[in-house]
Amino acid sequence: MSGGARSTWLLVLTTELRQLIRDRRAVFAAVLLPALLYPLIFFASGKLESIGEKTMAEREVVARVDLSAAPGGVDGDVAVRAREALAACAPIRLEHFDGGELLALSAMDADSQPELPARDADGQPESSADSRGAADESEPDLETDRAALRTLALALLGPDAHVLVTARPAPEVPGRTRFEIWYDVQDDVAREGRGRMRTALDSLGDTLRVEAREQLLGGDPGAGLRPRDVDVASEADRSGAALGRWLPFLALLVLISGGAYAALAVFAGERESGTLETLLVQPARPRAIALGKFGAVLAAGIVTVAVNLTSLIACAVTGLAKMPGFNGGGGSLPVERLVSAAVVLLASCALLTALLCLVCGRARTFREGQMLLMPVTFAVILPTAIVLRPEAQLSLATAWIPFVGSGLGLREALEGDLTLLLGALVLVSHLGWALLLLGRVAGLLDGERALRDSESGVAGRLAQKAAHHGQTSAFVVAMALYLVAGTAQRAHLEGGLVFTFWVLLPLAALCIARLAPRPAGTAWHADLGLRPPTAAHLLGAVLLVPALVALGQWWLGVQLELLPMPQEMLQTSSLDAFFGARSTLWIAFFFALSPGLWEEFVFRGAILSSMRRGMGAVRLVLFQGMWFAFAHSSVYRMVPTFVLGALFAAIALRARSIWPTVAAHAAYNGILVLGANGRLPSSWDAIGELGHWSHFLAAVGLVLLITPARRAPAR
Amino acid sequence: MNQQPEALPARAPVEGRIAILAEDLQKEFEDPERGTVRAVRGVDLDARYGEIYGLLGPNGAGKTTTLRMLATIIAPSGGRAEIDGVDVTRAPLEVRRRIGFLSGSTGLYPRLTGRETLRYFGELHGLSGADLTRRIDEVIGAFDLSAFVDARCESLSTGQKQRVNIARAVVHDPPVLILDEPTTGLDILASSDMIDFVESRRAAGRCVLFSTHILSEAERLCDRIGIIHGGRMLAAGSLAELRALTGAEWLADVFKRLVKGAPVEPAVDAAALGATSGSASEAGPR
Repeated sequence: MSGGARSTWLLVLTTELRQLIRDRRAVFAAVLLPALLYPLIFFASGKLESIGEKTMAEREVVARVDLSAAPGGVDGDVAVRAREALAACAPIRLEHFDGGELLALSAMDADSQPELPARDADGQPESSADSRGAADESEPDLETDRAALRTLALALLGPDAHVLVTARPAPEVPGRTRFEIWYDVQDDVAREGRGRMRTALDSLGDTLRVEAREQLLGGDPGAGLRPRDVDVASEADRSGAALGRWLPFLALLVLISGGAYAALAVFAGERESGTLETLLVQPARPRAIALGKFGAVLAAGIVTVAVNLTSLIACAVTGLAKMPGFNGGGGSLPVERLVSAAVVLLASCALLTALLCLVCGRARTFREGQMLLMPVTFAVILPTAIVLRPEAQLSLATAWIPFVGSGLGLREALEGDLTLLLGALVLVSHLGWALLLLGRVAGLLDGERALRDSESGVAGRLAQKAAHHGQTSAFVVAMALYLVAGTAQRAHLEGGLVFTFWVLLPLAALCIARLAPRPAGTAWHADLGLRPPTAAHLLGAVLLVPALVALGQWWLGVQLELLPMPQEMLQTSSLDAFFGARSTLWIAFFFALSPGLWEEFVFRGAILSSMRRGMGAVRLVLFQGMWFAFAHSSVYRMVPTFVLGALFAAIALRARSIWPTVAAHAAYNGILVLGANGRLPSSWDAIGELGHWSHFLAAVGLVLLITPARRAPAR
Repeated sequence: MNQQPEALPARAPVEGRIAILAEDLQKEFEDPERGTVRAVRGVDLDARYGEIYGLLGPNGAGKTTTLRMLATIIAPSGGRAEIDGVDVTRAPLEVRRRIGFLSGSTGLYPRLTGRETLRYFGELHGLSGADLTRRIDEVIGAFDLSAFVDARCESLSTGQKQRVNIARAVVHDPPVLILDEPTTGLDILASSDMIDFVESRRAAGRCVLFSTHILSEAERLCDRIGIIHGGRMLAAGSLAELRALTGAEWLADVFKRLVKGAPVEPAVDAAALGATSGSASEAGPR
């Protein structure tokens, strides 16, 4: 043997990189896509936005106006000026209508509960500024006989009009006027008209307020008293704070998008093409091979991140996008902050790359590897989401936690607050985690394992088919819930709910269990998970519920930081509007018992049993979380539903029965829905008041869940 | 940590000296669906330098599992095996330096050229510089690869790929070659090239161990033949010895008499499964 031979890991690294560079799909994923993504997105969204704005601004709004109830009458000063202001909202056509009945009906509501806040969702009328501009301070209550009010308003609007405008005496101050704008939020032109009119009437309110003040006092007594904000933060601080909130996510997501293909190619692809067996008969240690492959994936990932960020900066600098933190292209950040951020980012990328290698190394095929990437994304993004919580700080306790430490470290590095000690701890701990995972990756490069996991074995084929069946079923169920159940519920609420929970989901579970690939001699109904649980497991699951509610709310908070929910969805009044005067029993049946029973029947029964044959517990739990979140088809609640789905799956796996999760799920839903609707003492407060008791109950519940299951499952 | 370990000097192949030795070699593994599977139940064999040893058996007999144990891809559950005097369990890396392994499932990197493939595997075996270049040129000449050696493997025909794969297996000039059904799936010309290659290795004093279920191949090539069935070596020896043992003239008859006369044991451990199956099944990792 000659001297000067290259190290094995370096040899593997260069060879893998050479192959990736020649792979058009890898080049697309790592270079072209991240380079072109932002320019295309920002260009397209800018175009669409301008087209949309232009189109809506050009639409004529038909407004029916009745200002006769305003103090001073239809010819009074306020009414005349209001009509002028509305006429200026061109293009607009003003028509007169008789709003007496509408005012009378809404006045009854206003008298009953005047403290309710404004609402503008679900087609409910929106009230607007009074003559003094107090737009949002005292809106009419629309709780009572809301349906009649809605029916009347829609009848008055007719097929042609978009908006109704009324005026009435303001109840708070005699002689003053309150304007009300009635519109259907689902009508785009109505929303546009409402926006224009609200602006005009708010402006009129401001003018009237100034005039009244001048008239009464001869000037503004508050002039000069308003505090003035002086932001002493430097440009660098502002940029760092803004970047620190989203860069940790972006970098990891981009790394996944670019590095995932490379990881699939060098691990699953190698197994598929048969070169793994070739490699395993060479005199090379598995750790060296793993390190070389890891290096290739890391290089691909870093190239992706670098290209992506460069593209983003270019978009910001050229004005194509307005990105927080990129004022001046991010060039305002001092070099030392950028360097320390890059070091922390590198540690984070190394850990994520090792995770990608581990996941793709376990995949038997390219396709299976692709299926595993979504749970990995969740598993990485969830801990990183902590950077959105201002109260979370980098410390000796948090620095070493995977992706939590790196996320916080990156944030603090950009803000200029990262200390040398904590930065070093983040770096060392994350590289240490990466090395640990690499050890596991090396363990996968074992001939025996590679052959055992190959698709050739009968058991392997069955397991793969069963896992695939579970995944496909979960997707179909989620789509059916979104399309069929959603349509049915919109057509007729009760009928749709009954159809969804008592027809669609049970049928789906039976079909999934019946069609699932299973070993000979295994009964299909065993897949439904209906075997009786132990009392300990049932009780343990129920005791977890208070903590689950708190946990769900915490994750919802995290998600809202990441993806703010529209104002309409946040208003508790929209829940009030939805549930209205329905009975507690009705709510408990349709929103606690039914979903608790039948969603568990499908997800933790039939789907979980099928997936379990082809995947380990961790992957199964992550997939369950993912599909559960997907099935709820709400992007704003994706994180809490993912967490709950994963936890329910873990409980069902432990108990080998769906009944504990049925109880926990129903109790969880019941507390949330009844509590939010005011049917409980106030669930969140009640849970909050439980305080340490909820932790204690959860601890007892966990201990009970650890106890053995009743008997071995027939899987 | 990742520096390639310094190779022990391989002994020069001396014709007649034992190159491959297996004693009571066994392989069991656990299958979640089938219980304990006994793929190889005690195989003895010895193959010498300058000799072609054929492992003959029906599908599922345990040939592939035996070869994979000898090539260190999987570890034996019992017994022992040596390649060129090196124990396959204790020093697998040293064994890998001494063997060239080729099977139907050993693939080529599609985006590397033939030359890059030879260079990569040569370097993995510690070759470099002028030595490596000389060896690459030698195998390119020996297997007539020059017309397509700079094309990517994904663009080659099956026969061309097989020739590159053979060259890959011998680029480090191993004293022992282990070939698992090397002609399966090849057309007549490619099969003929493979047979020529095996004969050339014997002429060069190397030891070749190959498995096949094609009797004519074994009859033409092998100095000695081991008949394997149900994970056991039923008989081993030269063709003349096997004829004398069974009283049959043709290898096909020798094979049939040995296989039909052998006690049949299930590859799957019936006790472990609680089953009563009586036939040998495809067992062992491929």
